[in-house]
Amino acid sequence: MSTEEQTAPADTGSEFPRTIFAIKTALGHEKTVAENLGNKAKRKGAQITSIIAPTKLRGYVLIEGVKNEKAIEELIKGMQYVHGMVGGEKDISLKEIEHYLAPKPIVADITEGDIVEIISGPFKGEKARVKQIDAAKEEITVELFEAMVSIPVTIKGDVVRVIERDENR
Amino acid sequence: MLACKKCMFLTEQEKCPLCGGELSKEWQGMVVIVDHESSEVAKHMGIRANGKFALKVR
Ligand SMILES: [Zn+2]
Repeated sequence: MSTEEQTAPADTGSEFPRTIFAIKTALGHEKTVAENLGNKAKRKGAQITSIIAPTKLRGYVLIEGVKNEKAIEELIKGMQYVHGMVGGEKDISLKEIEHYLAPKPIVADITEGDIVEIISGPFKGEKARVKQIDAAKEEITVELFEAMVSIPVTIKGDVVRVIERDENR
Repeated sequence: MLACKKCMFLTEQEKCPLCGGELSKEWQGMVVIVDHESSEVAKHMGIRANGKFALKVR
């Protein structure tokens, strides 16, 4: 996507810019608010295109849409777990929230030393210890517990599930 | 609710109704796409449908 596309405000057919802004929610209810708000926006024909509830952003959800504060206040009024719009002039750019949207590499959650269970393929059901990680290829090298001689096996990072974290890492 | 491992769609069904992909109960974060045609977020994520999607699926 070009920079131009990210920064140029889309023609919303109204005086308000299409942007990203935040609303404050009760802790732990971010996803519920996103769902409810999505349903309500659809029902009311609000100019909202998406609602984002990243796990790491606690107590907030992000709204992509036309920032007409009056209309938004009206929309969220009386909604459970919603604490109101975050004030201020500054809008959030797509660039700033991209890291929430980009799918993380599958192996990002796996660390050397972790004990994993292989969930598909020829070694399905086997437990193994992670020896090496290749994040670019999304591959990991493991040593199977059951094997008589421990031969390292390289497998795709998405065919394992971590069952025990290496505490000494 | 389960997330599709392929397209990240969130569903209560047994298979992903969007792409037929396998589902996972290990998912995090949520994006609700209301209007995928005008959503930059949907475009960025390669989403071509409205509905609930996970931000991360294992
Ligand atoms: Zn799918």
